Amino acid sequence: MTFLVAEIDVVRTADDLLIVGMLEKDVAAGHRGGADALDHVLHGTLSRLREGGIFTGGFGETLMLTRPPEPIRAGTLMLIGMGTSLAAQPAAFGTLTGLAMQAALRIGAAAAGCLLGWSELDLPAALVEPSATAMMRGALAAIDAQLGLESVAPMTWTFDIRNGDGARTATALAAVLAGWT
Amino acid sequence: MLTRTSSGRAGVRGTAPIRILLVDDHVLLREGVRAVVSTQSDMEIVGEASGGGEAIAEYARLQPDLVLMDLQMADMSGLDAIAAIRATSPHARIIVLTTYAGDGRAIKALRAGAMGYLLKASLRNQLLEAIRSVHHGGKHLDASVATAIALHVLDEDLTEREVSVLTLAAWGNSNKQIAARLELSEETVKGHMKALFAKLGANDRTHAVTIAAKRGLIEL
Repeated sequence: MTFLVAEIDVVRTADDLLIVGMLEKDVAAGHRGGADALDHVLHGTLSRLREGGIFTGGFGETLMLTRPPEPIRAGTLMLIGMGTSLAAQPAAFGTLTGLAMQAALRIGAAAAGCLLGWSELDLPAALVEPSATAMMRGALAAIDAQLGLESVAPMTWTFDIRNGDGARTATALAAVLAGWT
Repeated sequence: MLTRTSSGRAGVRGTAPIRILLVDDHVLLREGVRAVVSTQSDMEIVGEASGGGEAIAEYARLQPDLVLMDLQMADMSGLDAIAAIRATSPHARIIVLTTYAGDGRAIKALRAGAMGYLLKASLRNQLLEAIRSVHHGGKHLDASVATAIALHVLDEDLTEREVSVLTLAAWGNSNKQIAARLELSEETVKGHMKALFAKLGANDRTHAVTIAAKRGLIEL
């Protein structure tokens, strides 16, 4: 299992699974970054699915979209609902990362990119490490749960970071990973 | 790069398999799905039905974890069966298997409570992934269907009366004949046609029928 920290290009990445966090529609206007870039490329498909109630963005809600059209190269898109806001809820990032990792393991993804959108928020400096820690713990808990059932194939998992705190985030992620037994 | 190996920590699969009810009026399709599912240790077909009514009865009897449901069946449509099952079991997890890529049936199915919508042409690649996703509480769509849905999900729905008018038009009835069949005035039928053209972005009745049929808004 390999974890990376990078700013994911949502169009060019050829990961098997691209996980994109979306907030509920009533606060969607404030969202920006990776999810919006993806929605733009898809000519508003994601936001229209949300407006139409097919995917509401409720916390923990998931929608898998297989075979996305060109120019998106990812094999499957996974929308994951972030509720109204995650700005001050590190534990919630962990829960959602766990859901995302579970999905990646279920489909046997060899490469997955995770854009929960947390790095696009105006996250207080004091919450950068707690949020990163929660995310890694969520991912590892999902792996541990899967390991209780069957073997886990090698996977490269990329956390999307675009808030300028990549180094601090990577350090916090590494600290949790180092303690994983 | 942060790397840790997880090899050597594998346990033995111990969870109960996902119990599936398979509903389709084509025996060959059922046999094909059964063959695919039988290769997986975490899922099993526990029952089959060839129609909507039988599906409702079998769901009540078997209480499966998940239903794979065809839409077009002789005795009762899959949409009606989905609604009936969800009426008594609001948490029933249902995936539609269909040949229809149009948005009309997909939107109806999802609003009726289906959590997945798969095209039979892509079953081979997507079926197992969809079963697992939906069993875990997620939704699953073919992206081409999602795109079609997104194009029209915010449009104003056709009314039941408009669907009736357009269906009769599709069978070659004139406005006068439609009016007689539905016990309406011819002017009222013309009004419905005008509204249909606007909602569908159609130029004339033939164009309206073509669009509606392609989108799955009327049954022919």
